[in-house]
Amino acid sequence: MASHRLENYLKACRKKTGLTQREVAFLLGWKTGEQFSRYEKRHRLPPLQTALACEVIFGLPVSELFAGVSESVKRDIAERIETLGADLERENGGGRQTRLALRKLSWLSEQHGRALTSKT
Amino acid sequence: MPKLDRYRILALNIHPRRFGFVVFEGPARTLDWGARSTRGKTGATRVPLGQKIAKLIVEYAPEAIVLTEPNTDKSRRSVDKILKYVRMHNIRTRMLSSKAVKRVFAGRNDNKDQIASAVAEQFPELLSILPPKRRPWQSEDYRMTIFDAAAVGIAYFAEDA
Repeated sequence: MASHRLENYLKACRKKTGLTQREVAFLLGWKTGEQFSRYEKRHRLPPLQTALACEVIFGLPVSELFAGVSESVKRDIAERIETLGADLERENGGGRQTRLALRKLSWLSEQHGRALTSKT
Repeated sequence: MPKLDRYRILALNIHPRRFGFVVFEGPARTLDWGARSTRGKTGATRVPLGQKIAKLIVEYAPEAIVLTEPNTDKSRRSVDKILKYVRMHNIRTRMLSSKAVKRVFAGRNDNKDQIASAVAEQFPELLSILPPKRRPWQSEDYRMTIFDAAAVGIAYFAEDA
């Protein structure tokens, strides 16, 4: 079985604090713990506001609380960066278009460590 | 073995009428713990052992399952059932003897209460469920099975570190 992070660590964090689902739901401004239970069981993904609220409650960044989601997002983005980079490298219109493509490629290389190939 | 601090295991302690579990992610982090009864004829206790373990495996996708060697016939049958299921899903299993577990808690292994206290010191989140010291006329607290499972998990990481 592959070693990967769990989609979220809400239950682990909650159990560590000793809080019940109902108490966490109260902190989130809800009446019952049912919705939080759905997030814990990974049946649903919480909206951004709830994710940020969890960050405040448990004192862990969203990317750690939702480590599995974060990893899969990173993987998807890395794939798309490669595709975008390859598209930009193919732009051979010359002049302004090429300069702009080069600028984007250099940003991709700086920010995301994408290796530049043909145009550098 | 993948990086040890991300290595997820399901530590189990099989008792003839219940089982305790602790899910570890690396040697220093517990994700979940609990005790499940398998003795009843109604409600949640009627759900067979295999299904309860399967649910945990699906929920936590552990890389390994760690158990103590069974010492009764009923526990042995339960462990066999678990092993059959686990092998079907290609999950690594490791069985540790109670001696091997005690070795890890050297100096504090005279009885289960001492080992449970040592476990609770290492994982303060378990302190709230630490059962009171058992008196000779009392039967074992059902929560003790969680500490037995935790002790197996700790022993596994200590041996494989």
